[in-house]
Amino acid sequence: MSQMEKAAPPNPCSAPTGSRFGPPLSDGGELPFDLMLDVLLRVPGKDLCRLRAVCRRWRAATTDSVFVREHAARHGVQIFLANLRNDDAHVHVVDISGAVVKRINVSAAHRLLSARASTWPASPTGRTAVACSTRRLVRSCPGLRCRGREE
Amino acid sequence: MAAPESGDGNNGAARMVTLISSDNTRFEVEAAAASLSQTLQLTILDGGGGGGDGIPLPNVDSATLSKVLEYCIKHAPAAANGGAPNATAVDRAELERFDNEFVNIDQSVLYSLIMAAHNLEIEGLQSLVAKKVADMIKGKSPMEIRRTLGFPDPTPEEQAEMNAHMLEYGWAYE
Repeated sequence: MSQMEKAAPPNPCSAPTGSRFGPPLSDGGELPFDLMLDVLLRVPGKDLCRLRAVCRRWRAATTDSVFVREHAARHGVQIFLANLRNDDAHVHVVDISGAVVKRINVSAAHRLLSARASTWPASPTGRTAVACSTRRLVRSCPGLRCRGREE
Repeated sequence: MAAPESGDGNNGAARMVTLISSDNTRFEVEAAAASLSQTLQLTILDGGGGGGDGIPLPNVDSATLSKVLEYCIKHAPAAANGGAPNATAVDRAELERFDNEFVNIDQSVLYSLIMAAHNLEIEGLQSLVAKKVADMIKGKSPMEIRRTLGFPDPTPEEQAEMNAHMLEYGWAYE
C-alpha cells in the first residue's frame, strides 16, 4: 500500500474546477448526482427539509415521490409539526416531501400537544414519529421541544 | 504492492489476483478480498486476473485503488462468513473502529472512493462513504452545505429562493 499518498487532494472548499472524473455538475459539486442522492437518502428527515434550500436540483429530487418513499423505507415515516406560510391560525402536519398532511388550528394543536406531547403523532410503523414545533409554538407551549430520532 | 508474477494456484486457500489501476500500477491481492467487488467477482470466478494478466481498472487510479483494497482486505474475512454472523463482538467493534478511521479523510478522497465503490459495486464501502458524507451535511445551514460540497456561490436568484425556503421551513432550522 505504498502508493497511498500519491495524489495531493484539492482544497475541498474551493469551487469545483473539474476533476479526473470529468467536469463537475453545477448543482452537485464533484459528486455524480445519483451518488449524491444515495447520500441524501441517509440524511434524517429534519435535516432533509432544511437542505432543500441548498439548490433547485436537491429540492426537486428530495420532494420526488420515489425519493420520499425510499427515504421512508429507511427512516420510517417522519412527520413534522410546522407553521407554514406565516399562517398564525394553524399548525401544519407535514411529511418529508413538504406536503401538508393536515392542518390543525392552533389552540387545538396546543391542547393536543400539551396532553400528548410525548406520544403524538405516532407513525403507522410506530418507529419514528418526529414532532417539531415552531418557535412560536415552543414559546407558548413551555417544555415542548423538537424531538426526533437522532442518528 | 506491484506484482510481477502472481501466484496462480486455483485451489489454494489464498488465490491471488492482479488489478491494474488507470495509471498502470499493479496490485496483487487475495481473490477473496477483490471479490468484495461484485464487478470483479464475476471476472475472478471466470478465472481472470491470475498469472501475468491482471484486470485493468481504467476508472480507478492507484491512490484510490490502494485505499479501496485496504477496505477490502480488512472486510474480506467477515464477508467470507456471510456478513459475519459468527463474528464476535470484538471483531465487530474492531471493524467499526477501522471503518470510522478509514473515512476520516479528505473530502476529495471520499468522493474518489465512493465513485470507485460504485463502479466496482462494493456495497459496504459505498454505504460507508455515503453515510460519512451525509454526516458532513447534517446540522449545517444550506450555505454551509454549499461551501462544504464545493458548490459555486448562489446567483442572486438562487439566493432569493434559498431565503424564501428558509422562511417557509423556519421550523427545520431550529
